[in-house]
Amino acid sequence: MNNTIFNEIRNNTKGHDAVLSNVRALGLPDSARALHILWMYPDVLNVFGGRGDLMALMRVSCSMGLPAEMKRLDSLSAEIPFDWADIIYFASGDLTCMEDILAALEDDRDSFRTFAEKGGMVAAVSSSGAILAKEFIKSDGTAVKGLGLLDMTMKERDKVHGDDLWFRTEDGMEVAGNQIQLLDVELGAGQQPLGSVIYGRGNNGDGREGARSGNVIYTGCVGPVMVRNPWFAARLLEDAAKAAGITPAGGSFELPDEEIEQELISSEEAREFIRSKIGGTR
Amino acid sequence: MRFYFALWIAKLSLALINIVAKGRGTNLPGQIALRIDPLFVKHMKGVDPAKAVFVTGTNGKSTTVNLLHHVFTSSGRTVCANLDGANMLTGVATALIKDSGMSGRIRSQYVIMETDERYLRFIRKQLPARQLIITNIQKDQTQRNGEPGVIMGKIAEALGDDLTVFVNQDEPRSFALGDKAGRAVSYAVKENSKSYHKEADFFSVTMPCARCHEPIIFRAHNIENIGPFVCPSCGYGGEHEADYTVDTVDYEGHSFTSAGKEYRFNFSTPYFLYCYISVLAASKEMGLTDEEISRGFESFSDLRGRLATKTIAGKTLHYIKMKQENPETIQSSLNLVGEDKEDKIFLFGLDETLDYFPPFTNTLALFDVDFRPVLRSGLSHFVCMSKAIGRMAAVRMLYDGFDPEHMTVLPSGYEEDIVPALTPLDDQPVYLVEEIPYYKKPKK
Repeated sequence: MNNTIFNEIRNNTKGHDAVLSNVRALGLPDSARALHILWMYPDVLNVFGGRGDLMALMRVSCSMGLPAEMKRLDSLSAEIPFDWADIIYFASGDLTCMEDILAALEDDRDSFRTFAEKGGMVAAVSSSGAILAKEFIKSDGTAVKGLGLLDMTMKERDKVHGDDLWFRTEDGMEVAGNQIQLLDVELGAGQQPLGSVIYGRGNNGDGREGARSGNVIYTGCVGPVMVRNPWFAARLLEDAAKAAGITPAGGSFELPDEEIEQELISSEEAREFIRSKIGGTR
Repeated sequence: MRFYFALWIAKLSLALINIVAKGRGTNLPGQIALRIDPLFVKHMKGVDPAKAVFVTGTNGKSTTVNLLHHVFTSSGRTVCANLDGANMLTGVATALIKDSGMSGRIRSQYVIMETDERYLRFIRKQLPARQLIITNIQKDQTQRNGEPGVIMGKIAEALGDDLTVFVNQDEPRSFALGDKAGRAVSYAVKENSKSYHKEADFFSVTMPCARCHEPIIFRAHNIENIGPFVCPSCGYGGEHEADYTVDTVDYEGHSFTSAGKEYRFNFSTPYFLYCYISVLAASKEMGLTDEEISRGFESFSDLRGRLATKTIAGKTLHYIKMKQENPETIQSSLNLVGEDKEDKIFLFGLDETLDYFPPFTNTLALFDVDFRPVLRSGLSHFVCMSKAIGRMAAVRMLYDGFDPEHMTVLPSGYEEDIVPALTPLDDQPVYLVEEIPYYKKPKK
């Protein structure tokens, strides 16, 4: 079902100014409260197939029967609709863009903080984590101030780290994908990680991966992470829906296994490959 | 003395390699020489930086170097070049060793070298070529390159006031590097019959402007993510006409025009036009005449094809080579398959990345590309292959709307796995897009 609805709404939604919505396709009235997902700077934050994360969020919403609407915010100078958004998503982007993005967001610091304090979800992937960090330090030693939504500092690495990444979230969910790391991550003393590493480097080789404070989330996992781990996408959608007061008629939003059959098999095949590295056969 | 010792030992190793395996030894002699004398390339004699050209970038380096070499040599000039693609410092050193006598003086008048984009800065420290052609900078080899910005930064480190850089005005990242060289000469290809426009899909994306990082807009794509572009925010890309342009193209007649002159073009894909126009620009700037360049173009043919045809399971198989970490070449391959509007079977080979350590389940490029040109062209069956990540290609096809009933996931792309899967399918043309043609290899 997810595929049919996802492709129907995708094919019927033309242009970058449109709102991608599954409300009607799910048979719900136009007045139904949908989860509002804001896709930040799609053309600018565009490495490692980052748009796949946004496709996955919408496709998984369809599978869960969760009404969702998605908007793009294309220009760095565009006003952020904090009042509209429930999820503000920064897909993986090129590190060279981060300074300009942070300069553009300078006047929105307080709004971001208020948004997060109210339970709004802010997520960033890979180098885009620099936006949520306290600061990131460039290879020339220059420090660039981030939004400070997470108590973490990121530091540019001399050499790219590329490998698989497999971790377990604090609540026990397994997530696997790739990691192309240009920034080492140092968490502050009170900052919770997103999870603990099963295989890979994670933040800086200390066994921790990502960061999470309430609904503010950073992960270094790409692949795209939401495509390869639709159960993780479902969890985030569920958390954001709860914070937004969106409740399902039947009690909970579920992601049926039969809707993600291929992803489940694919994930196991990838983990088997990773296990062979752990076991030293590769 | 150390230099001579390095040179002679390297020459000896080259002689031995030629006895054991003639044609090999594209790196080892240079490696040995540089181990003995780390500044070996710098110590070579007879290299005139004003007559040295480097070619770097993500795609098109080898073709551009081969074409440039051909144009220069066919006009009677002598050239030292690394045509075999060994493009690190060791490969450059080896090419110089091969071209030199026992005194370490090169015999050729010109030096034309393909240079790895990550190592250009190190190579140029020892051999300060005054000309550099940058083909393009795209997503590729993420495990080494990370993001394209990293590569831009590494190339930028090699640039300086003493350099003339030939930049692709249709490629937003590399064009910006013209700002960092003493002199920039731009080249471009005007919109032509094979240019295309992308539909305004909700999920379509371009790239950040290399100057202000706002989104850029392509007025057309001559090849994927290369074409006339502009940044609506700062005007980057739309300011000037390029110094050298392909003005018109006649693909059937195998010719193009530039500045009112017609040149032979022995290809039918737009990709090669950029190689030609960059070579035209560099050759003219280095003093070759139109007639000499034209003669070179006339007699040049590609050395390595990206396309091949064979028969498999009683069906005609069209093999299209891609670089699976470079979304632009994947997309170009998908577009090529999509040009055939008849029903077809499509095989897509996505493999784990094994080239560098550690190997990993690299699926990063899948969502940078769009499979719908293939889907909409008439696709009856999709087959994806590989043990760990082939199925992710199937997932990608689901996202683009393909019916899972018509998909097959195979554990490998070896012929013994492919043939049984293809045999029961209708007799239709088969397209295989893959980096390494596994069907040619025996199963281990």
